[in-house]
Amino acid sequence: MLGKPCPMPVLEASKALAAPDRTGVTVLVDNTVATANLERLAANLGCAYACNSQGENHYRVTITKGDLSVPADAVLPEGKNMPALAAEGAAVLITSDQMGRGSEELGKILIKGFLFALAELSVPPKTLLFLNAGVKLAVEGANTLADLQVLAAKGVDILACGTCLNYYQLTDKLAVGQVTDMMGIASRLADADKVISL
Amino acid sequence: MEMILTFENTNFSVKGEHLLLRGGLDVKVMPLPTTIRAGCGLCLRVPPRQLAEAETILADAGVPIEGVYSRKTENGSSTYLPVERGVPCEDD
Repeated sequence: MLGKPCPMPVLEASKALAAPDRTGVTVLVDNTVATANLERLAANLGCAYACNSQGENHYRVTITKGDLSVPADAVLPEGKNMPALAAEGAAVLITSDQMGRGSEELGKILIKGFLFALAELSVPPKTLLFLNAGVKLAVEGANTLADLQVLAAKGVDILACGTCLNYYQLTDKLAVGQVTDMMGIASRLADADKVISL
Repeated sequence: MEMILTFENTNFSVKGEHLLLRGGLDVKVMPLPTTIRAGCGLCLRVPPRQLAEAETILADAGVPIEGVYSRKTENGSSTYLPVERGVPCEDD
């Protein structure tokens, strides 16, 4: 993988590790970004990681399956698609129907991916607060509704700003969660263990 | 079960979602699972019954699908299996 562009070492290592009869893989790379990416891959797959520097710009990375030094509960179950992150006690404040600044079409697709990921967390956040155009994610016909319903079923409080629903003429279209006012939003934010603001 | 469509790059994912939504398909976005490919990326989910239609819409618009996987979720854990492509290539 020496001289190969950024994603290639991780892609090739990932492919090699997918073979059930392989116990591990050794990858030679020439930069520390690649070693860090391979370390993250190993962690995600519950594999052991070792890196030996063999002179300047020359690293030998070994990833081994089924590391016994890793506690069993730290190893992801087969097919698990992301680490079990816990968001217990968190309030997530969503103030837009897109994620980040820049391309609108990219932002709108990113927020969908984010809400899906949130619904996959082993411990979901306590509260989801939707403000301004963020309320559009929780109304009838929204593509994000299914993921929000998963979150609601997991006990997450989903609250949408009533003023905002009214502004966008969506008051009767809220399809998941409840309407709240600014006092409710302020108190939820104040009560939260941590606030994740988008 | 859902079918997962992966793409070479984010632009194809974004364009693919737009096309499938416009085509009236029940398409959803999700981050690309690490077990399919490490790194960042977005893939699309469609119901199995809409897979063939999705493949046709994307092929007609020149958006290449990189891979198709089935997603099965049991006990909160998802398994992804590669799916053989059923639609013949019409590029030639």
